[in-house]
Order: sequence, then C-alpha cells, then structure tokens
Amino acid sequence: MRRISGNGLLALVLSLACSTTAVAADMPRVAGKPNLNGIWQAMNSANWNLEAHSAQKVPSQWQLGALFAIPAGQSVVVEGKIPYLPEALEVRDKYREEWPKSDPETACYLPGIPRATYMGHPFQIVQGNRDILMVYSYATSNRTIFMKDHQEPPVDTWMGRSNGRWDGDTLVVETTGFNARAHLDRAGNHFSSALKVTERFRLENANVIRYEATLEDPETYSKPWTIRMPLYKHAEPNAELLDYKCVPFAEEMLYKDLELPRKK
Amino acid sequence: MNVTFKSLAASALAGLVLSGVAAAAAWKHPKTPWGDPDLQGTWPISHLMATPLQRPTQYGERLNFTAEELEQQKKAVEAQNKRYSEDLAQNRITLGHWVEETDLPAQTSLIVDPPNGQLPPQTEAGKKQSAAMGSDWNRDVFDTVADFGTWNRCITRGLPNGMLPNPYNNGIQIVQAPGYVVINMEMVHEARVVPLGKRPALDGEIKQWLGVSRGHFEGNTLVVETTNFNGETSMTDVPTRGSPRDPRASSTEMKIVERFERTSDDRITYSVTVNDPVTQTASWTVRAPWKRDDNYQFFEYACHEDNGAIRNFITSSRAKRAQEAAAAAQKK
Repeated sequence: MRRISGNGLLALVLSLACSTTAVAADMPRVAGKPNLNGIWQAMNSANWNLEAHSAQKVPSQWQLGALFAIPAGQSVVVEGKIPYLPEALEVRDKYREEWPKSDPETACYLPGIPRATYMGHPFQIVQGNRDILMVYSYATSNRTIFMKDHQEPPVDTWMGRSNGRWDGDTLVVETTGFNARAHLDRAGNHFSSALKVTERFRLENANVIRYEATLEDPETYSKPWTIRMPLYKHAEPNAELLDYKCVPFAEEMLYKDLELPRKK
Repeated sequence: MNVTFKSLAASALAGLVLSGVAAAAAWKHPKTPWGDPDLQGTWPISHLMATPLQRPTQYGERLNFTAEELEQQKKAVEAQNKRYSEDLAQNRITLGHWVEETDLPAQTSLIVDPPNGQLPPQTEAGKKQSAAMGSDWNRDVFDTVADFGTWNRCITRGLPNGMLPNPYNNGIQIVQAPGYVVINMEMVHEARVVPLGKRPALDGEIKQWLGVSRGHFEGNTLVVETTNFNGETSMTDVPTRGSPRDPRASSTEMKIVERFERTSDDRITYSVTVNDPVTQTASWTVRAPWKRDDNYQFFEYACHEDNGAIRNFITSSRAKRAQEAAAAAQKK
C-alpha cells in the first residue's frame, strides 16, 4: 500500500464523504428509502415532441391564436433521435400528419408509460412501506408500482404492469404488458406491445428527481434508447393534486359526426 | 380474574365470549413505520354484492338476518356463483361473465340509518334535479350525452356510489404515506388522495367529481370528510342491489363523512354518512364490514377508451324514431 500523509488521508476521506454520504445524510427518507412523496411535474415540452423541435403554430387550431401553439424544446432523448426501424418511422410520420385526431390524448384516453410522467400535468407519488402508487392528475389515471409481487401481466393494458425495486437509492421500475394504444407524445412517437420500459427515479435533493426511462422494443426501434429529464416538486405549502377528468372535454369532439343537439 | 379455569370451562357460552375478548385484546392495531394506524391492503367489496342498499320492507327495523333467513338465501347466491363456470362449460358469455362471485348477505341492508334501512325522501328540489338527470336505467331514448349517467360516460360512479358494491370491479385498495391516505378504487381508476391533518378545505370555487377530501384519525379510526362536489353525480346507481331505479341527484352542498375502523387483520368496519340539505330531507348512513383479500388483483378499468354505448344508444334511438315515424305514416 502506498503511504499517504495524515493530511492527505483526511482530505481523501472528506472528499469521499462530500461526494456520497453528504447527499445521503441530507436525503429525506421514508421507511429507510429515499422519500419520493410529493406532487411532481416535468417542466419541458417533451409531451409536444420528445425530440428537438422549434416553436410553431398548430394550423388546425387557428381560432386559439397564440394560446395554443407549440413551444420549442430540446430533445430529451439521450441519443438525440429515436432509433426507429424504417417502417415504424413511416407510422410515426403518418400519426404526426394526422394529429390531433391520431393522438389518444385528444380523446382523453389513458396516457401509458412513460408519457404519464411528462404530460405537463402534475402527479403524486404515494410511498409508504409497501407498494408505491403514482396518481396522475390527467384522466385520473394511476399505477401501482409492485415492490414485491413481481409478475408478468395477465393481459395487455394501456398503463402496463409496473414491477419496482430499489437499486441503492434509485427506484427502478420495469413496465411491460402494454396494449400499445397509447403514444409517447403529440408528435406521433409510438411503440408496440413488445415495449419494455425501465424507469429510474433518483432523488437529487428534496425538490428534484432525476428521471430517466429506457425504451426497448425490437419491433419498433433498432436499439434501446433513453429519455432523461428532471422532475420538479410542487413547493407550495398547500400543493394538492387536483383532478383533470377530461372525458367531458373530449365528448363533443368524439361525437361531432352525430351532430348532437347542443341543448335540450 | 375471579373465575377458576374449571368454572370457565364449564360454561361454553362464557368460554366463547371470553376467548373472543381475549383474541380482541391480543390483537394489536398495526401501525405504519411513521406511527399512523395501518389500514393498508386490498379490501374488495365483492362480498357485499348480495346485501341490498335499502332493506326489503318485511324486515322492518331489523338489521340482522336469522340463521333460517340466511339459509333460504343460500341457493340463490350459490346459483349466482356457479354462473361463470356454467358459462365456461357451455362455451358462452352471459351475465355469468360479468357478475362476480359473492357471499351471503352480511345484513338486511347496507343502510343502517334511518333505522328502517330506506333512503330518506328527497326534497322538492332534489326530486326535480333527479328527474332531469341522465341514466340508461330509466329511459330508452337518448339524444345527447347529458341523457346518460356519469358512469355510462365512464367519468365516475360518484360518491358515495363508488364506495358501494357493484356486480364487478369492486376493488378498493388503501395505500398510506406520511400525511396521506389514498383510497384507490378499481372502477374508473379513481385514486382518492386524502391529506391528513388540519389542512383547510379548498376554495369553494374548486369543484370536483369526487369532491375534495380531508382526513384525520380519531384513535385508530380514520375519518374522511369530503366536500366541494360538482353536483353532477348520482348518489346511488341501479347496479347496487336495492337501489332506487331513478338517479338520486346530489348538489354542490353534499358532504359525506366516512369512517374506517379496523377491527382485526382482515376486517374494517366502513361507514359513510351522506348529508345534502339541497336534495335530501335527512342524512343517511351506510355501514358494512369490509374483508381484506390481498390476493385480489385490480384490472385496468379502461372504460372510456372503448365506450361504444353512447354512440350506439343515440344512433339506435334515431333508428327507433325513424321506424316509428315510418309506421305512423303508413297507417295514415
């Protein structure tokens, strides 16, 4: 072993302490695990398009003027672009062309994973000493993260089945069993029922979660790819998750062709 | 204790009573790691499907069945519970696929107050509002989405309706975190997030389909008060046995108080008192035992996503009208 001076050793110990244990000591915990409880929200335009995009107008929504236009955003995809297989890319372009009709969000359908996380609506993480519940304001959707009872999903669903575990201080959630009717954003990005999503929630400090999700779907992408973004905690002392039950907002659009009488 | 073991053993009745007391005394209410009474688990209410909301009048003010009365109902419940396997055997899909298995009724009615087990009369305003509400149970011609109930539209079953038994998807799960209890309802994927403690009610301008809840513990009993309703839901719905056929309107003044009292590892006594001075002449209370079943699995209730009912009812109503008009024209 190389000899190091007392001072050098002290410095080494201190620097180690600063890089790891200082964070851990500060970290709020519940039942021994990092405390992810709170109301969280993404602050980006990933729900408009996971990939880089310019600010632009939505031609079909001309009545709403500047109220409803797309804000610019950098790509949240670590690799920059989603590695689509050629046919899947064509499908994406078709969805994009047919937006907003092609987008399940327009109809208030369940958001799927990972989109529920960055829709721009808040969601609440409810974490005690058992399974973790994520409650989304959008469409009053929710999902249980099963921490012990890891199972293959019996049927395919919009939200899939989420099995969770702690990898050190990071919550790792693997979700499969998608019916693949949800989309990833408003830009037509999509997946198949072969999708496996691996999410990682790492508390950086009391108010920020570092979130990432890796998407593996050999029927749609040529290789796995990852999105990464911070999630911010609602810091208002009276923060509360309010419902965004959007079915009534979509009905007029959904039944437009029936030319329903407006009032009886 | 002033009894000898021998004299205790001599009395079977006393023995039963005392052993019950001893078991209850030995059971300690579980606590969460942060010190709240622990109610967590899955508490599906499928076992209450045969218990009617309102009491059949022959039982008067009596809440419990006699052993004989229960015996008489055994056949009907067993027949119901066999319908699914009969469906499978005959390779068909009937209501046996929809209606889940249940237990013998727990009591003569879910409603325990008023003592006659009946919903109290509605106010004049309540009757008017109820008559104007949509429902696919009391009408067969539909022109707009407003002609349907909120459950037909896959929005919500409302409260207290969502906490009452239904023929299927009866899952209720309780999840706790420091400062919160969440009551997660399988049907219409609605998770009721209940903040605990002295948080003031939300501004009255904020109205929600399931209202806004506030909770606290009285001893080990969780008490949840809910206000800020939007007044667009029915308090009850026909699929809960013993419910009125017509919707029972709620108003924005509705307030419900629920109590969750855990009495053993696998039992909670649940009660809900409904008060709505605008639509009801008196308050009413449901109280029923819940049974824990952690093997019960929720299925995703994606209802709106494939809701063909609204479109089909409206187009078939139009077809019906056209047929009737053609028949009338032919008569002339």
